[in-house]
Amino acid sequence: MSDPVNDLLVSLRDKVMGVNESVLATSDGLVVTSDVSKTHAESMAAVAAATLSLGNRLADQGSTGTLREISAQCSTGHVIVTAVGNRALLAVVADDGLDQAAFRREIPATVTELRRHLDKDVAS
Amino acid sequence: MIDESTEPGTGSRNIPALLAELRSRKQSRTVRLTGSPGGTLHLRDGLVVAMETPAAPNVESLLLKSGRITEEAWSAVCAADTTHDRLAEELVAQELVGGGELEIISLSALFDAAFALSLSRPDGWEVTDPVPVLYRNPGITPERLVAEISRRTELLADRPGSVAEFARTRMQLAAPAQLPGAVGALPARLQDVLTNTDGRRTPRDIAFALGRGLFAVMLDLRRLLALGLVQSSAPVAPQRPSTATRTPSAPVPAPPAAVPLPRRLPGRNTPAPTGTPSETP
Amino acid sequence: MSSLDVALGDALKTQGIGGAALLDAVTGLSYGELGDVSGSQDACEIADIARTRLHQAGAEGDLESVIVTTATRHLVTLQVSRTGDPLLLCATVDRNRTNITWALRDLARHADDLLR
Repeated sequence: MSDPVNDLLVSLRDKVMGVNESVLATSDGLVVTSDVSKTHAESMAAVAAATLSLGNRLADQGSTGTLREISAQCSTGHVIVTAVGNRALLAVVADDGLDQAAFRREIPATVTELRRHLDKDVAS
Repeated sequence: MIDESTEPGTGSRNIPALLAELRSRKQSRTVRLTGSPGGTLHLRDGLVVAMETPAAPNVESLLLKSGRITEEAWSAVCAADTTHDRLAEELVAQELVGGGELEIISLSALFDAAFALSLSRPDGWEVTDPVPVLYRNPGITPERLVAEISRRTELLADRPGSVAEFARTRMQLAAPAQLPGAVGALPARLQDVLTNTDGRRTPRDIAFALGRGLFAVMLDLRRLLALGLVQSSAPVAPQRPSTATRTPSAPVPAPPAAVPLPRRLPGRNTPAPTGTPSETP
Repeated sequence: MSSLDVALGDALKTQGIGGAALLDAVTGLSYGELGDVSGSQDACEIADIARTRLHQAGAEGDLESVIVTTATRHLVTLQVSRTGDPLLLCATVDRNRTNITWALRDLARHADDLLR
């Protein structure tokens, strides 16, 4: 049986060239689900949560509104952390060939779908 | 004027026409292709000098990922040349990479991107003023590009299924029992491809991981396929949820009603009706 | 003028070498050619067959060269190692104007210069 939330992560990897791994975590750094092979999901969840919370404070300091995402551009790839509502986040590991246009196109829908599933979780 | 109102079906056939036109007018331009994936073509005096696409490693990827140039050296050169216009000269002048070597990498990245882009149809394109790009070659004619793409496609065409499909297929190792003896005798290059074959990566992903060309990796994978060392990974279940919809509450399919299983009656070839309409013709 | 064409031009100044081409040993892409290169068309495939057969015959180490000889000429294919996929330097050598040992020695020297 496949988990529909995990399927969303796999689907993102299928649709966007360059996306290699992803971790869905709670805002306090616990793994919800992951699509990884080399990344240590628990560590990524913890660091991504800490980064996102620092990012929120950055946004406060800069008075630049609500934080949407934080991206680390590295020599041979990217790590992109996106908020999924207030309670969760999505950390995506991509290689240096990431199809940015496709990522921009797919991420809002993925985040919306993830929120839909997670909101249901909370309600029940 | 360049006609941009082409039908989507004939779009890819018109890129060579566009290049031929830019060539006859000896123009220096940047052509941005939109699509999945898109790409960027760089022309100088009508000749193609560089192409970039998410579907194949670019010169920077090849230089850095393969370990030819260290991260520190790269940063230093980029800092010295903020416009990236003279990046190639700077790399050679500082003896970080040989002139001939950089020319080889520049050409291999150019033809590899052209091959990768030929595997999908662009949605459209936009011709803009030239932007700086890292290249070191005298420029390639559109005819030579087209000829090389056909040569590559033909070389891979002996495999069942399309070349484009192969480029997107996730590859996995064959049953481990078959591996040991054969692997040791393989060249190091093929062994590297094997270690990067994990059931998740497509040929394109393996090319990025190794800092090698997409086409070269596909040729190596074809050989490993023929040796029975790798196989295509089972396709992802088609039942995954669509992320296209943005409606907040798509109806959840109701659990199937408790319908009794179809039962085979003696002396009949078709299942007995159970009250639900049969889906088989 | 490209660095590769200049380097290939130097190779052609050698006595008896009538044409030279630099190919990618894996993809077969031609990076540069000068003079009579009709013999280098299938060099990639020929080198590949030689490499595979030698390995099957138990030879160790990588391919260094393939020499095909006709009544009037040698077609010499030299494998050039580098970081990344190897290259093939193919040359047409006139048998009447030089001998294969000299030609090989000169070509090996030019192969080193190519990537500079």
